[in-house]
Amino acid sequence: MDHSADDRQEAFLRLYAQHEPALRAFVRSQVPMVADANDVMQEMAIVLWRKFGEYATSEDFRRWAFGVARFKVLAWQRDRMRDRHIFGADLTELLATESEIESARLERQREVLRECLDELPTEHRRLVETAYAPGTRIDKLAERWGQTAMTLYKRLHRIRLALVDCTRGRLRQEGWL
Amino acid sequence: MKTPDPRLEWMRQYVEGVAAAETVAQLEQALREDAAFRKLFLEYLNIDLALSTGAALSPPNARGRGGAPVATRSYRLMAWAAVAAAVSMMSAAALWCSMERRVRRTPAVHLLAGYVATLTAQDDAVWQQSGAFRTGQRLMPGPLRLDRGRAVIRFDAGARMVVTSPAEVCLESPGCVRVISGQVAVQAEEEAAGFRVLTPDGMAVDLGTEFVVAVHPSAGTECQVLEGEVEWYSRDGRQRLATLSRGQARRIRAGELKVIESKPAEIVRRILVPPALRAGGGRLLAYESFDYNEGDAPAESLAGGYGWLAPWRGRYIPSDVVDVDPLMRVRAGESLMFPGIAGGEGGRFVFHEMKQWRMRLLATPVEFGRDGVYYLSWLARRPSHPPPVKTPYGRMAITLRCSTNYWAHSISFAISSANRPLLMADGNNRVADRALPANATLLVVGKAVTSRHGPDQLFMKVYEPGETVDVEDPAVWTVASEHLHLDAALDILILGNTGGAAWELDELRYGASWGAVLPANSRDVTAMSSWSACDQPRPRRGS
Repeated sequence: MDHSADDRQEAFLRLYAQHEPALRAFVRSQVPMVADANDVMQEMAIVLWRKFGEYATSEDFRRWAFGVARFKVLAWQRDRMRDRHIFGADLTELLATESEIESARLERQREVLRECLDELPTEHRRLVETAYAPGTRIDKLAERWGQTAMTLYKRLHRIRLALVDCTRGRLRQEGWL
Repeated sequence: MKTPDPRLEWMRQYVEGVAAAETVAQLEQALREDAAFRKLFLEYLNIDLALSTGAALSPPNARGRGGAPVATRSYRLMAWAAVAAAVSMMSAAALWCSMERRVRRTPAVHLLAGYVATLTAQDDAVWQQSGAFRTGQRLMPGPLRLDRGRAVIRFDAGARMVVTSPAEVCLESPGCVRVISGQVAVQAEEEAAGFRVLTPDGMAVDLGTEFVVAVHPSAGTECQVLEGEVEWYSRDGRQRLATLSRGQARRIRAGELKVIESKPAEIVRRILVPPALRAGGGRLLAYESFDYNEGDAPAESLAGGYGWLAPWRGRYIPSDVVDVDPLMRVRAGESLMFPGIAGGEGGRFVFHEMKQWRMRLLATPVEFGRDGVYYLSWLARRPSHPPPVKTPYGRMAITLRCSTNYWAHSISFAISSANRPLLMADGNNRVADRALPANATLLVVGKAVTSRHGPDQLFMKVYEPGETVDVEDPAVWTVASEHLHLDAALDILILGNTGGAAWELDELRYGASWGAVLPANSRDVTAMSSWSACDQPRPRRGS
């Protein structure tokens, strides 16, 4: 399919915006630090943009994009072969496969998450909003609130687990589980 | 007091980037061993991701109807427009090389759970393993020895491998195979790049290409690249010894690479990948082309096709939902057609908008208690757009149940009222994330892989007009189920429509192989090629 430069850019941006959440979820499952995941995403996006044009349908784009994402994650891992803080390639592949298979359900989980956030106690909701606000440092936040950073980390962990439970309940009602 | 699950704490530390190496190793082991924990892990990360990106925390008035935050999406578009503009000034070659010249770590362990590949075709194959492998069967990690014939294995990461006997290989993971002896040809297109072939003399890493590896236990390993590039690494995977390009061949022995004469690619392909090697082999077990007279007729009067033990009939099982119409409507002489697929004779079955079920007894049941592979295919067309109010669980489905215990177990291949492919199995539902077009003839393929001892699994693929139909089990299905554990013989096939929209169905096939339920239309056969290197027309797949 021939695209003019503008058409090509618009087509790419639309497809990328459509699939970016699923791709990010996949990359995030493989790369422990958010900053590293962002780097991988950026490199992946550059490659996708560079090679875009041979893939005209949304289905092809998704499949291709996941392939590139998988490769970028593996490349990132290769660069850290001596780093024992990352998963092995076999587990990476297993998670990648399951992440792709589950992508529709995970997308729906992100959608119902908002309703679950509304059900959180006010104090928990405030902690989540503050902790996840851009630029927030947990140690500074803990200092301001008179708590230890570890206390805040563990509270956030418990809230995330509660949100998993809540979203599972909603997905179960919708027949996803 | 209940002891907290330590895995949750490992997960927290990993997500926050503070896990020690030992903790990562413990988490890794737990994830390998427990599918339910992997599911939780992905969900937990997904929650963290949604919160990190602000997608779930944006105010309600910033969200679009579909739940996507409008402001965030606009921001993304602007951000990526900037990326696009920036990269357009960079060197494509530099970018591409920096990405592709990488290698994965060699996995040393087998996955403890889950399949890694599918046996998509075989030709006169004799396996050393007890019991014949069925075409379409899912394959676990582990050794395979092919004593006679050829076989095609599709790895779940996308690569396709042709094994030529005598050969002994070991499936390591969805992206890795170990060749112990014999010859394999690998095709790994771009999305499957990174596929690894381990040998006693080193490791080949595919960079989106087609190549052949032959292991001679006493004389080293030969590698010839037919298309693209392959990187060859040392046995420990840490040192790249060579990059082989199209037409290049090497013999590797004791860590040394020697240039050898490469055979012409076309000859190699014809030897290793003959066009006759197809995804057939299994029988067509039942067929219905709805070749009946025009109009409404009592279901019991319609008994055409073959592979059935009885005529069609209405829903007779006691139910709180009354079947409102005992008649089946057929539009004679207007068969649905799909390019490349045989058919076009007889008529089509018409579902009206009301809830309706029609069922028929199969001569050959789907037996979940035994090792087997079953396929269904049919053409479907929704003549109108989806109704404005969607029924929550409404769908057009082909369901299989048991005649002696109707409500005990069921599997369904369906299209939801929101026009999305949907798999259902005893309450485990999976829906695809893409909506199908209305007023278009769709080709739907369902697959059930049954296992006596291992997990069962369902797959569904929907082709829209203009899409090329795969000649064998595809690398990517539209939707696939989780691993299931069913134990039932399902012998009733039910056509059901509860979604509030009219549907038309045709060319219903039930068989034991991909090729059996997707017989090619000989007039359009060249449109169905998948192995792009094979340049000669493919013969018609027989049923």
